[in-house]
Amino acid sequence: MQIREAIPGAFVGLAAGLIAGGLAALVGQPVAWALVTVLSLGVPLALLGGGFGLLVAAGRLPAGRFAPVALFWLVGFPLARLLHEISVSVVLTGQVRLPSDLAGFLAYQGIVSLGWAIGFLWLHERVAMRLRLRATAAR
Amino acid sequence: MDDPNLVARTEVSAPPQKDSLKERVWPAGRLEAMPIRKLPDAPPSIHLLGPTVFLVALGVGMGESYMWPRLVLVFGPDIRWLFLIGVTLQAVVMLEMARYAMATGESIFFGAARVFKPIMWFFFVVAILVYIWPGHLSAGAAALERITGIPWTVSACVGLVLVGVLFSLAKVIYNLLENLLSILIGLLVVGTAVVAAMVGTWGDLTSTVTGMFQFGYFPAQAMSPEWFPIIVGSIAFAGPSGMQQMWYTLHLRDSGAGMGAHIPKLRGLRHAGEEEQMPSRGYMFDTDDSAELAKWKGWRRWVTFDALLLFWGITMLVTVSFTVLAQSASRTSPDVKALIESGEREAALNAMSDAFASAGGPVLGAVFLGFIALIGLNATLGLFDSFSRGQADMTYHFVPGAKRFRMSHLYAGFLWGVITFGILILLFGPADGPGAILDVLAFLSTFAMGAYCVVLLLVNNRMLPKPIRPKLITNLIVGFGAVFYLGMLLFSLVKFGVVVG
Repeated sequence: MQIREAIPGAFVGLAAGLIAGGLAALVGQPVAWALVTVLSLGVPLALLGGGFGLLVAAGRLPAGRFAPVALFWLVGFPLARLLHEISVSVVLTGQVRLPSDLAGFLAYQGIVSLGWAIGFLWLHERVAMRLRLRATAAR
Repeated sequence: MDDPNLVARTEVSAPPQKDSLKERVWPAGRLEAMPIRKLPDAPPSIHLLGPTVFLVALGVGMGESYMWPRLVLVFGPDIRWLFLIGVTLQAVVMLEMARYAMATGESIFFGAARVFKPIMWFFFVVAILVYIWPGHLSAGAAALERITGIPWTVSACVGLVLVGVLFSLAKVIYNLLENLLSILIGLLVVGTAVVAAMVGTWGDLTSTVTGMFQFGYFPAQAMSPEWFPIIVGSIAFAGPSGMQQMWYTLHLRDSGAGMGAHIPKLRGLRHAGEEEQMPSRGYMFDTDDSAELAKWKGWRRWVTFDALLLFWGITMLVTVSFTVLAQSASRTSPDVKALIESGEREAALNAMSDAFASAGGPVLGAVFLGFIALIGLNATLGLFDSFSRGQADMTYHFVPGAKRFRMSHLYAGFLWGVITFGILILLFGPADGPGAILDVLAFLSTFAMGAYCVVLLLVNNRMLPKPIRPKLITNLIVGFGAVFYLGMLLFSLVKFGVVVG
């Protein structure tokens, strides 16, 4: 399995974390806070995004359809957000705190994940297409 | 090769040899008949993200980020069923616009001319009257001013010149713009999802979503001269408004979808000399051939995916997210509700930004304004290109003598014309247009939407071969669209004496 299949998904996930963290730094939030956002949100999303690319390349998930992307993120996105919430609470308060209404939190993130899945797919296809074209040209 | 359709065009568009049978054509209306050519193969579902990006860039604007959140704060989330109807109607219209463009490689303007030329000239005039005013730049540029401090007229003028230079230098305008808008829209969608995930709550979301299914909810206050025209305008602005759907047919053609593969791509002014000769009409495929019809079904599947997931899905995501954000903002700062209700758009947007800042830190205030600026930038890029593309297409085909120019020259002429006019108006005149004709412009914009539904019915049912005409249910929905837009517009005018708000 070629590791470069993970690049587009990892790129999109990391980009989301960088957007959130970058904007935090831009408006004067402490650098540590911005870094926590980049790491605790961007890295899990990047890992999951990269994993998605590898699963598609390995034939475990069908390519070119929306439903598998949506189902993948229905599980993955709430988990990434939960990790983000816990990390922020640890950095800000020094304690591990779960969201007060955990079920409601996860359900809400699950719904939002559909929107995220559309954006992920949109950017993923763009980046993947560029890489494929470049690889073809190189050959 | 910068034009991926060139191979397809070379392979399948060669006319029959001299010795073979006389060339077969499809006669449509009184204009030149369309020669029969091969339909290219459809791409596998999502691997070619199509020109919907233009429709999303144009369509996701003030309606989604401001007008509908405002109505929800005033009337409650249950009013959103009207939004659902508006966007769903637009998705069906989009599919029907695509039917004609993909079957012929012609724009819907050309189709309208095949039915009756004055209809096309009506749209030509409406486009100039409605879209030359640079008012659409103001919200995005004002948001940028709040973030950076640069006066909005300066950034708007600089932006206009940059857009002109960018489109003039591009080798193939469509490729440049699609790549640019795809990244911007992708970031908008990903960013909106992440921000909504951090700010919203389950309660906000459920009330917003369930509100979309409260069919028939219409409070007495909405039936007033003050609010009814605003509601009509908001329905018209749900998704693409005015002539944006018509321009989509030009982007679809330039993306090489369906028979659009046989039409050369529009080039920037600097590369106008490389443009191939534009044919004087579109082409039709052999609808008696079952293999060709199977390919056609593939193209319909592809565009349906585009319409439902990308267009409908993204429009819903952005508007639901902004409504959730507005609800969260009004809880934090009751002032924002009063400001939004008052109708002062800029004040309301700033108040919403401040409310986000107090709810989730300054980052959210800036993110909100950043999104408004991004939406403004997307709309401006799309609008200038679309306007110039539509006017150039109609001029090239229907103004006598225009064919001695290349399409690229005409495009550049309209582009720089609207940019020059825009800068002059920004510096010296009323950005939205003269106050005396504002009502007329608002009326024309909504009227055009009802009119293009009628045009779609005529074009798709009279100008296309029977096997690829729309089904009865589709015709009923588009017909409902015509009655809906024109009926609401006229009702508002007759009952309250006010056009859309």
